[in-house]
Amino acid sequence: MSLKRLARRIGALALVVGVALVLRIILCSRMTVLHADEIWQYQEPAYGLVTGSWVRAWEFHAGIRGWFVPLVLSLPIAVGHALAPQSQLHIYLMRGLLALISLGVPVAWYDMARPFGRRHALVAAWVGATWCEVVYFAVRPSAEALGLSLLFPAMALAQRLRRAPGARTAFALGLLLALGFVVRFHYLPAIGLIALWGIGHRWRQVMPGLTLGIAAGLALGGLGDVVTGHPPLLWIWRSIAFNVVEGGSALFGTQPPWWLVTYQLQTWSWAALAIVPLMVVGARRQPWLLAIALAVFIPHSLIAHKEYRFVLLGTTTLILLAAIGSVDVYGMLESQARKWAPVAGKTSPDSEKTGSRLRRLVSGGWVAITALCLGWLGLDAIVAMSDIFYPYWIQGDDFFTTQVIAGEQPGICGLAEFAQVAHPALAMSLLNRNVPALLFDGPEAPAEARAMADRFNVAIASQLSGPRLPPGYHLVACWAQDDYAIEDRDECVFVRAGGCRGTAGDFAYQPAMERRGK
Amino acid sequence: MIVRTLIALGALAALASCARERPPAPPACPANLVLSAADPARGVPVEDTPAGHCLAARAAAGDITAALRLGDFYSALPGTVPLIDRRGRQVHWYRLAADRGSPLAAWRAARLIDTDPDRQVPNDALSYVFVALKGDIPEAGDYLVDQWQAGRVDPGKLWALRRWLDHPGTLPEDQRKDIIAGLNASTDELEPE
Repeated sequence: MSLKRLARRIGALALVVGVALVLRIILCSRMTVLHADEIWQYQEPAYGLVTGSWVRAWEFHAGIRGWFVPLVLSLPIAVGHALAPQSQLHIYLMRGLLALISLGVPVAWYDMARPFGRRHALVAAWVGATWCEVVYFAVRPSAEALGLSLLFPAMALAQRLRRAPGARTAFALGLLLALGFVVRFHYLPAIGLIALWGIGHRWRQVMPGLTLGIAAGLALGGLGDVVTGHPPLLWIWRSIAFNVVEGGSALFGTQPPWWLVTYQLQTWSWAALAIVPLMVVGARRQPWLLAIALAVFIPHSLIAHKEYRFVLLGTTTLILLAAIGSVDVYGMLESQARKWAPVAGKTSPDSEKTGSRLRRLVSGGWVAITALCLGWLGLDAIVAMSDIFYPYWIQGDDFFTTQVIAGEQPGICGLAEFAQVAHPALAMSLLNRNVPALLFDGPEAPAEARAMADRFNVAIASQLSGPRLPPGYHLVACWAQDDYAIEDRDECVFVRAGGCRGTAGDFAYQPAMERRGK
Repeated sequence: MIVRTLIALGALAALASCARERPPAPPACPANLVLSAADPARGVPVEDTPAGHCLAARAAAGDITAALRLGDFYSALPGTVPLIDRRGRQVHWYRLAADRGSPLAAWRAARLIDTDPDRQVPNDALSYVFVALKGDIPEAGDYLVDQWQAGRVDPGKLWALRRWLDHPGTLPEDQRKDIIAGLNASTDELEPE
């Protein structure tokens, strides 16, 4: 294939992937978080693997979390820490790695829609590159986000494998499915369906490679546990036992079975009026994708504890279907325009001209793709700016940037989390200073902090709690909270002059947090 | 059929056993055991004294009474105890007893955990309120209704409880009806989580 032909063939996709990369890099610079799990289930243990200093959430004591993801994330964190140990480079590199991995989503969407036509493929890739729910999660250290980056390429491979069975493709599919399982085992029904999709009728040709790939993926996932000194994959059984058999997840709130669907529709806001019918049209083209989405939604709906992020794979699969459906609907409109144009031509020369123009306009390849991409950007904007989704763009920025600011205080020798609403409230990965940390809360917090005043010289507290700190503290910053009422400024950094002496005693952050069941 | 059922039950039991390590056999503590308030005042947690250590071991092994006694001990300490994480220790022992089914401990844990009236009731506190309510602690029902009407509970989080309350006999009838009526009343705007 000539270079020119290759450039023509992949140029548009490369452009879309470039846009995807730019959007993700912009998001890398934000300290936003959808859920605390991103920090304390993945980022903190990864940082702990590199530095030995981390806040262990209760899930790690209960042994219901795996070490594969933290081990992978520890690589960019180690590089960042080696290059600039006093900075946040380790966080940016970690997010950068996640952003790069997530570029597999638009490429996979392109590949899955390609059999229906180039227009389908490019529009699907564009939606995969820009859709807010994909972009937002692309840089998050979370199981759901990594699940997308692994399982959409797996779906693309499954579709290819079904058309052209091959040992290498089968191995790659097995590997991705197994890693997807290790990252988020709750997707097992969907993973099983993807495997079935790939196997098709020629299971004899596919199974050896697929089995080998699955074994390799599980071995890699288990290796993450073994390397960090834990039994391989035992955490999965423990997690199921805790959450399903013992009903432990119900501790975090329960919702009715239809909640995931109703909440998703609320999240899509007015755009749902377009997305749902387009999704139905797209499902006629590719019913496997609809089945996969249902295999995500239905099992999660049967579990009492529900969160929006849990079904992200299902949600975004539906968006892919809608993207495919939108091109089909455009095609239908195009056919209607073709039918209408000659009829118009019989009536008068003017209307013939108009009809001809209209036909050219809707039929032009790039015009059609541009119109569809702009239409999807419009839907994207509706969702991204909706009442539910818009706060996500800034969520956590004040809280987690405050941790960074606290760590950057000159001469910090001890940190107190004072009267914070919930714990964990400390992230060593963001504080990035190996200093003792203390926890004070409850009605005796001021007396306790006074008794331990010489053990810390930086405190994180609400602005109104500041005067309850020991004497000598002054307010340094309430990051990004200038617009808040003073009683809502919960995350402020206070500092006193001088050093520290003594130990954290009974208020050492980790054991104090564990006493609170966190 | 029987063999398959037994295998399934065995598998479920094996799965459940993965959740938690089996605790060691509880040691016997003297019947007239006394916990001294002087130790926490000096900065020594009572669990580090022989009497407290014995109770803590029993509590860790599943003795609800021992866990409740330790929680109550920290609650009842007079004055401030600034060298000890008193609130953390109270929460710890009450949670331990609550997680093993004590409605009283669940009620006390919930009250300790739920501290900010400008936010929704934390999930774990809400779950403990449910345990207390179902364990026939009437104050828990009143508390839940108050928090619901103050906009401190997400409606979806009451779905399972409402279904439970729909069954007559789950609570004394007048109490059950009062709670249902309270939960059907209008609420303030939902507080942030």
